[in-house]
Amino acid sequence: MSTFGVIAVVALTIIVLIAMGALLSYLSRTGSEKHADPDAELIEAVNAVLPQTQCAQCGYPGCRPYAQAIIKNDEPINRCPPGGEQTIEQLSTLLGTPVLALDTSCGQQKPEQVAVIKEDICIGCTLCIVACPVDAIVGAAKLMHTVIADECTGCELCIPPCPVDCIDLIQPEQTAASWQWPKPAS
Amino acid sequence: MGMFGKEKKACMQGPLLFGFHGGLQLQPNKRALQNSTDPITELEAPHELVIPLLDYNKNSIAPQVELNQHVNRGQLLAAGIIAPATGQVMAIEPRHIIHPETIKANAVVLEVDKASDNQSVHMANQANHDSTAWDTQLSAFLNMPDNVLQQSALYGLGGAGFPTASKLDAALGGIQTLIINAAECEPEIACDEALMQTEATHIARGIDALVQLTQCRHCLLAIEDSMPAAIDAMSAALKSINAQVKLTVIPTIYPTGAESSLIQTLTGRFIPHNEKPSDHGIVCFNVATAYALYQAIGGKALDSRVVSLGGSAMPNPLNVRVRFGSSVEAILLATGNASVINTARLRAGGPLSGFDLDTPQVPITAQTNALLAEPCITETPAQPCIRCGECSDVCPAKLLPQQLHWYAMSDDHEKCQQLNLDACIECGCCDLVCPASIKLTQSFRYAKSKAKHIAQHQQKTLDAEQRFALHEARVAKRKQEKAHAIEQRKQSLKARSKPQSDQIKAALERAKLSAKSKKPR
Repeated sequence: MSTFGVIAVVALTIIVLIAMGALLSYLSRTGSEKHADPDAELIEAVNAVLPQTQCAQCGYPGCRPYAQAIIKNDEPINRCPPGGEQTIEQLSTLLGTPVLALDTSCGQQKPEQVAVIKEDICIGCTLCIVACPVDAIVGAAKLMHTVIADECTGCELCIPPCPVDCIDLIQPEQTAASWQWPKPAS
Repeated sequence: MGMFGKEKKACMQGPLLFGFHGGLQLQPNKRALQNSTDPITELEAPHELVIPLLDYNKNSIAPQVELNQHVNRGQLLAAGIIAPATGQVMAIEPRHIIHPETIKANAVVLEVDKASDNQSVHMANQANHDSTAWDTQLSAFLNMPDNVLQQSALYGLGGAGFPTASKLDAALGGIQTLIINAAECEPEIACDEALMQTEATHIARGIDALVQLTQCRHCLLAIEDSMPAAIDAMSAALKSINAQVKLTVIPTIYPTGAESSLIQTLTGRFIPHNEKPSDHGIVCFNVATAYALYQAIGGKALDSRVVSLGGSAMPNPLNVRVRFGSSVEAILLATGNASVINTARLRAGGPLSGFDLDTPQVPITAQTNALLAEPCITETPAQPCIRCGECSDVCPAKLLPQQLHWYAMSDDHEKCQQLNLDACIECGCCDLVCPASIKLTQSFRYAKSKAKHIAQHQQKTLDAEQRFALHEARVAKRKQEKAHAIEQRKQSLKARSKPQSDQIKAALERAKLSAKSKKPR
């Protein structure tokens, strides 16, 4: 093989390698642009621990905004009454921060509850439908509204706007589908 | 104990039998068949029937009848649920259901109209004896199986109560082996045995219909060797109609009657708990289900079943055919067993796989194969586990009950999953052999239902999150649309006011001009 040939092969190899390097660095840059927020994964993990009641008792308009505040603004992890101790413990394990007592200025932990509309009193004002963060109330203007019990998170946000005070919170009844075998005495 | 593989007993047609792990040789103790000369006593429908509006997964379903409506026997009350007698709907309200703990479910309460109901019984009996019509009925069924299956509300009568139509749907096409389960391995339960003694020919026809419908390559009827009378009756009946069914006599070992154990015994195949037998070309039906199908083809919907009354405290043990929805109390009163209502421990289902009842005012369903009365004795408290390993020796699912119990009691659901808790068939063998009287099965039932509850809760949480995200997006979109609309309105107002100002300017100019032109004058 001539000297020229050897030089040509070496030069070609170098050009190809440079081109590949440039391409790879471009690809990795465009790839990382999608994950612009380095905290996104952590926010996702915190959000997964929160009970998704969307009750806003923490002072944020939902569970995801609170998760964002915990990561971005160092908001304390004890501001979620529906999650209670269990959620605080899970968050402290996840974030490596100390376990705190529930901040009772946000509210008290309550047993599982669902909203029920007294249908004979309801005037069909739609205010509760607007207030419900999880679209669990159905109805139309001047027609009776009702709560889809399976979808209600018991967040209580529908209670204050009701002008005729026709929404109650009750503990969901035990059904054949939700029943659990009791734990035997050990 | 667990000697199945080693001790193959002589079988009628000499098939090869395979073993399954564990199991127990228990005394059959079928009291229901011991005292009476008539294997099955027909009970009249009681005054009131209570039919819970629940589907197979115990979810509530909507009624298709109204209050005070008159319903005929066999009429649809809700999807897949029929009226077991002619009468009037007295209430649609929550009533106690047959359950380990007192629990209510929405139910149709039917006041039975005895006169017209007796007439319906008479007509049904006449239809039963008209055997010449069978061939036409069968070919009509084979042409349009869905018609019969939808009208007759067939459920598996072996104990799990799975809707037969769904099972057949999955089974149609690609079925090699059809298994008719007449093992009835649990002590005290004798309803299938009694049915085979009295209705052998009709059962054989039902099985034949299943064979023709599924077009299976072979069909096996499995009966335990402890029921010679039933074996003789079925053998003769199958021969008389020349059905392509192989009667297989299997050793009496509990729980051979469990679907997985029976399939393993007959075919040697082990079906993992998360797979269906139909995935392996196998389908199983209980022998009483085959009889119910025979009746359905003849136009009679499934509205009653045979229940074995037994247990050591039952004064008058026997097999009774009762309508669904009859209360346990009514059955005990009608059979001369009223004395046990307040004196004994009542149990629905077998001594191992069943559960104790808090109250006898509960209606029986297609799943209730036995009602037992046992003396009230104080239970021996559980002792610490001595790690003898007996429980894992008898477990038909090849689990490690002793370890599973530990994790179940400490709510470690991940470990329970790893040790395959879902494969537990809750047969109760481990409880029976445990020298420390540990309630293993109940801890497994607890852990399984808890895991299910957690999964349901997680799904609900995920759904709520998703709906919240959609809600937020919708609110944001509306806000944006509103802002956009306001902006547009502003722009259009501006645009409209422009020509106006031009007109005013022009008018002003014209006025100025005219003023100028007037001045010199």
